[in-house]
This record gives sequence, structure tokens and C-alpha cells, in this order.
Amino acid sequence: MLPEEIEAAARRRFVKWDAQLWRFVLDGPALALARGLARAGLDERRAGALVESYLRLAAEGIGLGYLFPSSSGAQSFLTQAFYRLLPETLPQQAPESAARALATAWNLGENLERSPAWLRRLFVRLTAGPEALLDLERLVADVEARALRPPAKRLEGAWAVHWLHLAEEDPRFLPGAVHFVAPTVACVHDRHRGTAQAGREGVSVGVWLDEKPLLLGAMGCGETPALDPGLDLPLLESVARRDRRVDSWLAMARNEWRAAVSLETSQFLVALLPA
Amino acid sequence: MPGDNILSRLLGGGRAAVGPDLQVHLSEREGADPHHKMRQAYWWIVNNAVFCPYYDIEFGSGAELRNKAGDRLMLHEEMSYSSFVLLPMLTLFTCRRALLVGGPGRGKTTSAILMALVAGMPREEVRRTIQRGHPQLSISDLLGSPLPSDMLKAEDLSQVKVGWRRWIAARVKIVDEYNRIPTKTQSALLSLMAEGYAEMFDQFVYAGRSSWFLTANDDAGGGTFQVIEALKDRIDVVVRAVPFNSGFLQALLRRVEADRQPEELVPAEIVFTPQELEAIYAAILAVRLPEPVLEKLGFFLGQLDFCRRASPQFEAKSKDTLKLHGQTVSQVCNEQCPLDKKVHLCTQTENGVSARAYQTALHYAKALAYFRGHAEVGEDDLRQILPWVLHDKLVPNGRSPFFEAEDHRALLGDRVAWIRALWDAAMEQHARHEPTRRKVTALRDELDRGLEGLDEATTKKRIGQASNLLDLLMTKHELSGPVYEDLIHLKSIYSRYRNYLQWVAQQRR
Repeated sequence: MLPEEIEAAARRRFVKWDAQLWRFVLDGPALALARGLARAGLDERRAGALVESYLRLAAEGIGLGYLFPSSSGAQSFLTQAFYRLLPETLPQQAPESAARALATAWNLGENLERSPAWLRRLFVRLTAGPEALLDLERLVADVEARALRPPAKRLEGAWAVHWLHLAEEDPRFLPGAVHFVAPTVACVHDRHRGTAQAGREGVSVGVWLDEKPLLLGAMGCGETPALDPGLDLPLLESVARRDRRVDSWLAMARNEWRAAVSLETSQFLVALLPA
Repeated sequence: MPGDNILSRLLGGGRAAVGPDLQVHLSEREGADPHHKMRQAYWWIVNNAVFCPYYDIEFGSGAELRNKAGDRLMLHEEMSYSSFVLLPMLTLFTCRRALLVGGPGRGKTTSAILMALVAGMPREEVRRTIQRGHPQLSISDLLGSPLPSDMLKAEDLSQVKVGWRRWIAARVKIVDEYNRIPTKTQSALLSLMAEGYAEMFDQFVYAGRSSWFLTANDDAGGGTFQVIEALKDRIDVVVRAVPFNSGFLQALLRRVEADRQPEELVPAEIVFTPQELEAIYAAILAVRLPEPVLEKLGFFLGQLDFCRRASPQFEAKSKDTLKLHGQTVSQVCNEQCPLDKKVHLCTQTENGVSARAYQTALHYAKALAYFRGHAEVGEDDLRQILPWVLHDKLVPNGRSPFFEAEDHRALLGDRVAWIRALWDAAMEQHARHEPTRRKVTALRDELDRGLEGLDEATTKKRIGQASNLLDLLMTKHELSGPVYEDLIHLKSIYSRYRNYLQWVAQQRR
């Protein structure tokens, strides 16, 4: 099936068809994939089948709104995979595993579209490098173990403090209320722009409080957590005694394994993890 | 735990699979949200198929701009919609009957065709099934005819097989220029629309659950033939074609140059299966209508039929009484009626509305709320939908003193604006009348809990309550439409209790 035929079929099928984006996919990542496959010495028929599969999935992604222009500033696993990772990694694999990897990436991406925002953000961050796509099953199992299952160590006894600069995600971000969306994933709402107003969704940033905490970016969280659900003062006092950067606490969220606290006068979030 | 089976959820059960040809194949998406699909269909039509220069079904508050001449332009903040596309869509999903009116070339037939395509009918079939009204259209042309060979051989009617026209069973039925159809054929159309079947030579054909789209070039319902009143009454909603705005000339030019009609381009993604249409219909019916909203609808529509001067007999003070005696409201609504014509709504209409109109209003209000993504109907849904439902059902009394004021006279030229103004005035009245209405409703609720086992003393007490309220309304309130409705209602409550008391006494004997 020729690209023109794929486009014509997609135009008939989808309400939203972005011809410009399709042109970008054809001239950019699809071309890179075709060239990569040629360089890898894959026979023409098999390379053609793989590129055709890639294009048909990309057309579906554009039609369903899963893929969007890079200029929009938004990120998703599928855009990352289709624009950058798949054209890089597929030529490195045997034809059978390349086709399987393409199908797996699509299935993961489409299922993520129906998953919570924080999980989507997590996969965007964890699949920044092409190596992640070589073994997606292992990556998903790793996320399940580290982000979704309760960690083995509880927040009792010794703990470590991590200062996370949320302004790295949004220069105007001023941390306010915090709540947990998974045992090790916290959602921090902006103090002034935290709730939806006049058609604009509230501003919130996700933080994965893994051993090496990771900022997840904008969460689009629809919740309105209370600014002051209660500070664990004994714990916070001991943090303040050990760290002179702390002045007055603003809001805190804590579960059995992690704690996250915002401060009155800082764009940093203080995360407490078991040592 | 949120992590349960994440591996299988994220990686298993996807649509993509590798075939033996090493191609990745995608299966069809399952369970696409029908509501989302419905909205997508609306936006596709608005953005690609029908030029909509303005969105006139508006919600929420907004800024008002005025010029010195008194013209007003409202800028609403919430999502607004084009009636010319939305109303046919709601008609499609609620299996009702819409009349699209407006001058030639305004997109009436295109809009109807798009609805048929969205309902999954193939384009060729849609073209073939459109019934085009013309002065020579006979009943046979419309419904079908007996097979000639049977006519020669048959010894009785049961042996005559009728070849019914295929359009009768279509999910979407389009009758173009219905006001050009001769009166006799209109009657056949009426029975098909009203009863859902047609009969010929003792044989029947059923229309099935379907949506009807009729078009007429003349807003007033004129045309080659006068449309029979009963046929007009069967039309649930009137949709007005929108004028073309020259701002869309570029888009029109692109369409001309592409040499394609919008109906050729309907994407498969917005084509509904019969199951999806049924599912949406069921979901629309499940939209709740809260009691206070229903009460407001009743308050508005209920008072329109009242005419204080229709009859000296209290129960017959309705515009129907006048009509049955060949009179009109304009003949009796004069200074002899003490009601203030600037305030009371009864003066503005020549008629009230039937139970069928109430039903239609409920259907469309639910459909609009569903389309907007709401679980229950709001007052604003009713305010927006009623003008289209009542468009051809309410006839204004042009000689009412109300329309003598300059800013009111303009309402006679635009029924949508007039009915919306009627609704707004009724809602102002409702706020004042609500305490009284609440007392009547409380008595009604008591009665609705049932009479079984009710003792004589309680019955008498309730009769007393109803009598007191009747007395209060008769003596201390002006006899207006809403008060009249309450009085009639209270009288029926009173009569039920009185009859019950009689029955209890008979049982005792």
C-alpha cells in the first residue's frame, strides 16, 4: 500500500486528519526508518512491509490524535516512539522482532492513552533513550515493581532528604498542595494555578519518588487536594534541625513509604525517602 | 492496588498484532465511546460539511454589546452550538421528526443526507430513498403499488401482492419539499408518520424506528399545497437554515475547486452502527429530569392554554374551547379581560400545546443534555430547545396588546426569539408563584402516596386543606394562567378525596 493510499484511506476514516503532520512523518521519521533499514541491509520486500506497517500505525495515530506536532510542546510515549525511537531501533533488529517491537510499542502507547496521566508521564521519561524500546516487557515490569507496588522499605527510622526543583518543569511553578497518586508518585499542585479555571486545567507537576527522584512534568490533575491536610510536625522538625535551608512548611503529603512537603517561600519540593 | 496486572493491561490485549506476512495489523477499535463519537460527528459536520456562520444554541452568561439603535449582540462564555446541525442530530438519535425550512440552496437536503450517512446508510441508497415532493406525487409513487400480474390473476385482495417502496423501512427517511405534495398523498404520509405503518389492499408495511427529515422552502408552511394541520402537528422540531456568510467564501471556493461534495467525504469514524444508535437512544432516555426542572416546564407550557374569557364555565377556560366554537383569542382578548396583557403570557398565544408537544420537549431536552455530556437536564437545556420544538406549534396572537409595544412587535417576525422571551418571562413569574405551587404539589404528593387504608378523619382533614387553598387562590389571587392550573389541579385532588369518602361510606352500608 502506497503512502498516498494510506493517507486517502485515513482521510476517509478519521474526523481529524492533519495532512501537515502526515507530511512531517513521511519526510522525517518514516524516511529515516527506510534509510536505516536499507543501511542495515534488510531485503527490500521485508523493509517495505515494515515501513508500510509503520506508516499505517502512524496514520491511525494521527487520525486518533495520539500523534501530534512536536511544535505543540506536548509529549507522549507514542510521539516519542514514532518520531525518534522506532526509526532508530527497528533497523537494529531482525525483521520478525522488529515487527513485534513495532506492535508492542503501539499496544503500549495506545493502552497508555487510556491510563492515568502520571503513568503516561512516567513512560515518557523512562523511554527517553532508544535502548528502552529494545525490551519493553522488562521496562513495564520494572515500572510495575518500582512505581506501582508498595516499596519494601517504610518511612520509619532513618530517612534521606531530596530537594527537587520544580521550576525546572515550569519557571512559574510555586508548589502548593501535594497528594499521592501511587505509593511512590506524588502530584504537586501550583499554589495559585492549581485548580481548573475558565476552561484552563489546573497546573500540577508529577514527581516519582524513586531512589533517584524524577520529575514527571505536567500532570493535568483534576483533583483539588487540601492545602493543609496536616503536617507531621515531629518529622518535619527533625528535618529542619538537620537542613538549614528549611524555613516554614506549607503543605505535606505522606504515606507509609514516602513524604513530600512544599515550603512557604520556595520553588523546591522536599521529598523524604527511607535511607 | 493500581499496579494489579499492569503488565497484561499495558502490553496484552492491544490491537496491533504481527501477521505471518510480518506486517503489523490493527483490529478495529472496540467500545469507542458513543457520546464522544456523537460529538465528533457534530463537529465534523460543522467544520467540514455545513457552513455555520453562527452558533445560536448558547449557554451560560456572557457579555452584551449594544449599539445606540438598541441592537444587542451577546457573547457567551460556554460552549455553543449551531441549531442547524445539532437539531437534526438530536432528531436522528431520538428517532423523531424534523422539518428543515429555509430558502433554496441553504443546505437543508444536504443536512438531511448527512444524517442518513451518519446513520450508516450507503450514499447511493440515501440518494435513491429521498422522496421528492411534487404536485403529481401519487400515493402509489410514495408507498408502492400492487403488482400488475397479481391484479389480473387475483380472485380476492389477499392474492394481490403490494410492491412497497424501499424507503419506507429506511432508518432515516427524507421527504424533500413536503409542502409540494398533493393533499391526498399528504394523508398517506401522515398515517405513515403518525402510526408507523401504511396500508394498501389489506396489506401493511411498517416504518420501524426511524428519524424523519422533511424540508420546505417556505417557513410559513406554504408551497404548492397547504400542509394539512395533522401532518404539521406530527413534526417534532423545526430547524431553520442559516444564511450564507461571505466570510466563508474561501471555504466554498476550495470546495468548488476540489469538485467534491461533503457527503462524499463523511469519515467512517463518525458512521454509527444500528447498535450504537440504539445504545445512544437508551442513554438519552436515561438522562434524568430533576423535579424542579420538570415543574418549570409544566409552569411554562401549562399556562399557555388558559383563556379567562373562553367560557363562563370554570373548567372550560381554555383556548381549545374557543377553537371548537370557531373563535380566536384575538377576538376575545380585549379590555374586558382584567388581566394585564403586558404581564400575563396567555394573551400572546392563540393556542396551548398538546401532550405530544410536552413529550417532544422532554425527548429533545434529554438529548441536548446528553449531547452536552450532562447526566441530567438543566433549565438552560429547556430554554434552548423549546423554541425549536414549539416553533410551529405555538401561534402568536398578533393582535394582542402585548405586541403593540415597539420592542415586542419585532418578536412576531422571529418565533425562536419570541418563544425564548416567553420562557424568560415565565421563569420570572415562576419565582414569584413557586410558594403557592409548592403547597399544591405537597397536597398532590400526599394523594399520590395512595388512598388505601386512609381513615375518614384524615380524608376530611385533607379535603379541608384542599378547600382552604382553593378558597385562598380564588379570593386572594388574580385568576391568571398559573393560578388557574393550580385551581384545576386542586379541584381534582378535592374530587378524588370526596369520591373516596363516598366510597368508604358505601362500603360501610
